[in-house]
Amino acid sequence: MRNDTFYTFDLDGTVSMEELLPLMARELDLEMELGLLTRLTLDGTLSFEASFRLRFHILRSIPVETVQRISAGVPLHPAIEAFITANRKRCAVVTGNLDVWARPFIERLGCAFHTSTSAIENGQLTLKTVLDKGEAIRGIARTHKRIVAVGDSFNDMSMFEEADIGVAYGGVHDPVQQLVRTADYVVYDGDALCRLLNTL
Amino acid sequence: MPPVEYVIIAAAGRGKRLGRGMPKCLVPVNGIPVINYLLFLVRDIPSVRLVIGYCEDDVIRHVRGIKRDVIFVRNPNFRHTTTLQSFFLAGRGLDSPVLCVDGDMIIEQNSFAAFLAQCGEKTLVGVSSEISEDPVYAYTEGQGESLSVTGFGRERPATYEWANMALIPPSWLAFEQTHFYEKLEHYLPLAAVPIRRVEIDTPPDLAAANALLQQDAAYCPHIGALQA
Repeated sequence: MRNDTFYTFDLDGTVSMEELLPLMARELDLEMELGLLTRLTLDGTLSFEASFRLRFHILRSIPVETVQRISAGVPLHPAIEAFITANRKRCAVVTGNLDVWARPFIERLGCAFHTSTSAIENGQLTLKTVLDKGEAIRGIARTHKRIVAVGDSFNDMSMFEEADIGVAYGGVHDPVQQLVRTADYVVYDGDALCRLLNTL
Repeated sequence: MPPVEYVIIAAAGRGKRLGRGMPKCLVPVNGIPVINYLLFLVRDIPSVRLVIGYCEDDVIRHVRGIKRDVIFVRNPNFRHTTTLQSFFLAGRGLDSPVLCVDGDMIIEQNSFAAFLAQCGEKTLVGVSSEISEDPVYAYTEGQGESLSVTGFGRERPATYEWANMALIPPSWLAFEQTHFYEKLEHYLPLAAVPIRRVEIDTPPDLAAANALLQQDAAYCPHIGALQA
């Protein structure tokens, strides 16, 4: 492993072995509706930002404590979790997910997190910013020379475009084809992913 | 510790001379795709990197169904790069000897096992006494365990030909438009081990490989374990 390499990871379906938003949708019995939004986002009909804003408005009625209880129960891939915690100063999670929803992951992994942000206004959860993953990588690049990005979804494209090395990872579901087309490596097994990362 | 930690299989090319629509590594020999034979042979090597290019989606779909922990290394410029360049792309960042194997051949399993048994920290070149249609000869000295390659060439016939397989330090790999064996010429003499293998370059090669595998059940007898 080169000591000038910094590793950035998508969260849902990459570090985590289940995606958080569908689990939250289950709480409101809205899995089908959220699933439709996800499909429209994956096929490029909706931008990630528009999709996330819609999903936020649907899901924000769930108390934050409930969401955090759900996210605390989401399993992480053991080898990827071990890689991040062993190299936490050289790793960051870059996720479009919301800061308060992702908090249990932040606490568990102990590395830097770049998320969409929220605030409580008039007692209600409000979406402040939707993360631009490319912008997040550009920020990290100001202090790190060589960046590896690991992801699986269409919204990881901008991360790959700004990173030096892109790894499309299909741990939970297949990486989208557009991402594979811009990747340097394609991996489907978490242990193999970590073996690869240790050589980058 | 396994004798080899890393193997790179180059399977990016189209296989123009074979004239099939599918990538050469997926062409069936005796009913089984070529890549299955290689994946079976390297099953105990911890890290397998497969360089992909032509019809990469088809290759990924097939290979991950057999061996999920393969690391796919993309070579989108496969039309204009050499096998050496594919090996280089996959070998970046490695720091211990790597076994580089061309993905268009079927290697007899006992001779592959004998090759692996001689792998250690040293370098090792595969040679073959079965001379193909368009050979690159390997000029050798010594016999048995002291067999070594002293040169390569196409002109003067020899007992052995270059078998497109070598265990080398990854630092020898380079992004150069030359043949792999030409790169090895800088490091001669190199220890060599004979292997039995059939290359699948042309339709006659394919026919010969089909016939060989139908006749010689011992060539790769446990291959069934890896069939998708």
